[in-house]
Amino acid sequence: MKLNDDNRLDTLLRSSLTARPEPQIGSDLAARVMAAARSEARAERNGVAQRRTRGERLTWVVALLATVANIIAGALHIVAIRAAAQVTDTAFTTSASSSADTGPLLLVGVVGLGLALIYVALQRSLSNDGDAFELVMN
Amino acid sequence: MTTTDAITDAMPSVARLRAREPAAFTWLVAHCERIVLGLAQALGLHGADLDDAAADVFLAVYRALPSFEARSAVTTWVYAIACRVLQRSAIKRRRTRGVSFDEARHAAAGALSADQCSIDRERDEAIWAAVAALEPRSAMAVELHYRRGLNIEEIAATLQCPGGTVKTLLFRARAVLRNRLAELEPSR
Repeated sequence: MKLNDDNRLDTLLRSSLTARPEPQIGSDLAARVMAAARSEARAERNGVAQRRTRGERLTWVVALLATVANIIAGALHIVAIRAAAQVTDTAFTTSASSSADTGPLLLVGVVGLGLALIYVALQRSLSNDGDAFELVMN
Repeated sequence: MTTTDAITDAMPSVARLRAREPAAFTWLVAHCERIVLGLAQALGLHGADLDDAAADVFLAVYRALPSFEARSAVTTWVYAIACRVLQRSAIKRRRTRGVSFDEARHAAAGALSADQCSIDRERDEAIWAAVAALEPRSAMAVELHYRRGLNIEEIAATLQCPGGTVKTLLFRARAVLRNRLAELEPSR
């Protein structure tokens, strides 16, 4: 077989490759592929749901921790003002004790409102995109 | 009714293909399966590997269908995806396992019926194995040109490269095949 001639090589390749038996595969390929795609989509949806549940749990944990920190800060504020009142004169004590009544309540209210706003914003972004928390955490 | 029953000769509309209607997808698989399997076979795949490769290709097609823009024929679009998927998996396979000429020859052996002339059979198996041992893009260009009769422009559209590159791939493939087959000559 002289293969230096391109035409002869072309002819040989053509005749050999066209003589090759067509490959056969088992069952209905289209049905198998569609089933695989469906199960993949289902797995993907489950993954998103799991991420969303994890995000919601994190929201509650963050909100709870922030509330506890807020209460502790308020209590410390009251203790500090009462301690300060004990070492000052009566006139000042009167004004300080009045501030001791309203100050912590105002602080708790403002911080609580801020936390509520953050919580609502996080929940909204979570409902738009299940990955919001993952993004925040990353 | 099975999905195969739903196959008709009429090509489904682009909208139906993009909507991934089962009947439209079944039509697409039925019309492209032979060429896609041939490409996988040209890369030396057989048995379960061939089956898996075909499933991977059509899964990629199924995922990409909503973004099909009908800039080319849907079959050309499918073959382009097939080439990309098969080339990637062939490179990965060669990197991890390596595909030698002998392995490809072993894979090609036994594909012919027993009544075929043994000399022809041996020569054909050597050629198929030599093609499978080529670089993946060259093997696919040879398959599309010599086995399926596609011209340079059609192969360029499928491999998504310029016509000049296809000519180079075929030229190099011919040089390698010529040497490989000449090496086999004295052993006969």
